[in-house]
Amino acid sequence: MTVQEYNTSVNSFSDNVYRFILKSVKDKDKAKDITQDSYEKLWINRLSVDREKVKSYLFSTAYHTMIDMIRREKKFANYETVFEEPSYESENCDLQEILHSAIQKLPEDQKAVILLRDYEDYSYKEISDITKLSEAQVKTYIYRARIFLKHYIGKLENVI
Amino acid sequence: MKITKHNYEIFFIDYFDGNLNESREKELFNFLDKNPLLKEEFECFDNGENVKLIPDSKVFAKKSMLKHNTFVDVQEISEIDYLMISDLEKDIKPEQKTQLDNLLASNPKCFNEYNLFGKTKLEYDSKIEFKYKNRIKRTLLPMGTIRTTLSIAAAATAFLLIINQLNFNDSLNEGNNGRNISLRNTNSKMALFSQSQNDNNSLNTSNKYTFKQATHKINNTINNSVSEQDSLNATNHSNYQEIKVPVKHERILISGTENINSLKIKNTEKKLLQPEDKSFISNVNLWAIAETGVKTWNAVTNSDASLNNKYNEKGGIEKLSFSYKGIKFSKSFNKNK
Repeated sequence: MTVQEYNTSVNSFSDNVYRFILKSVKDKDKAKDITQDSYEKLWINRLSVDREKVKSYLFSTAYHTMIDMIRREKKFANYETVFEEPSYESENCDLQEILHSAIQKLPEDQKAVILLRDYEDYSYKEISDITKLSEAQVKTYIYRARIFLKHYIGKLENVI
Repeated sequence: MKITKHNYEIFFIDYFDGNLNESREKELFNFLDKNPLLKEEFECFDNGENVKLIPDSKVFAKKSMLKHNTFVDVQEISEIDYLMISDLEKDIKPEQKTQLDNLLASNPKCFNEYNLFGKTKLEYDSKIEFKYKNRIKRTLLPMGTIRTTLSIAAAATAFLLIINQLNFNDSLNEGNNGRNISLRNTNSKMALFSQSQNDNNSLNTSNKYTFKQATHKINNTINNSVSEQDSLNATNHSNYQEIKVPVKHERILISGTENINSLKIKNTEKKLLQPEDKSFISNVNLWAIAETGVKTWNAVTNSDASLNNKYNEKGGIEKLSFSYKGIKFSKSFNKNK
């Protein structure tokens, strides 16, 4: 990977990585740090990283850094069985905003795979490579997340 | 094991299961010939009707309840939800698609659910951008640029070194007035304070120990033995008194007319200490170093940097110039010196 290719990857993927992490951790500074760390690791390993897989490498590095950070900070909470009543405000009824508040209630694994699936349009196989989960797990998490999100916005629609 | 009336059933079962070899079978039939009653029992086994179980034709009607979806092993996902999500994920098989279409057509409630699933697709916020791209970008200078930069830097360093040295020589020529104090440490671990007061003739001529003398002395004594130090001390012995100071292995000689407080280091003029340090450099031909440096860089980098000087009638440097790829620096010096 040349310097030019590296810099091109900064232009092409840094927004995506940053967005993915920001949506997961909800902290701009941490998202910035993790994005920078990911690119630092990419630069260090630029000779061994296949340029066709730079994006996957970045997402994978960012994802695992984020998981490590969450575990380190012991903020990992399992919402797997929690279906909280959705809260809403009249001025906050934009569907995407509701969805983005809903995904914060998902477990980390489900949140990550659904973001990778919807934001980056990754296949189950690609998400599996990034997260090191099996394809079956990825699919299961996506399906569970969809059920949860449907349940969440369905309740809101009923209230509205 | 030999066939007897107590174990013949085992042999019967083994025979019908095909587990007896040829010699055992022969042994079994010989045994039956000798025991006609058991032979009747054996023939009943042979018919098989009374002992074989016929499989039941009944089937379990609720197989579908026990089945799992291909990937998704989730109890809470119903078959309808699974079909809807599969369709949303573009992961649905043709027969499943047909099944889903039929469901949606026949059940309006299912259609609403399907629409809700369609709304769960997240869209990224394009307003979110990573603003620090420039921080993580990398730049590498081309090799030619590096060589050029290094060449200029090296030549400029040599040039500045020479200019600095010439300025130092100028300051030496200006001389020193006022109260001068020099300090030096020698190999003999002795510290010598010598005081010179040009404007105050409290000391006789032999006791004046000017900066130039000190410099000369340091240059001469830097590699000399202690005895030379002692001879110097002996020369000025009448005007110095030796005192012990709390510095390990060091002695200080001070003028007998001064008290110790007046000779504190803080009173030492910095201007005098600087040239004294630099005087070590004066012994080295800086001009030769600079010329060699420029020549080396020319050879290594294939450049054409040049360093020239012009001497006056007294042998002092009158003008110094440096040029590199059309860039020229020059400095003129006082012709009177």
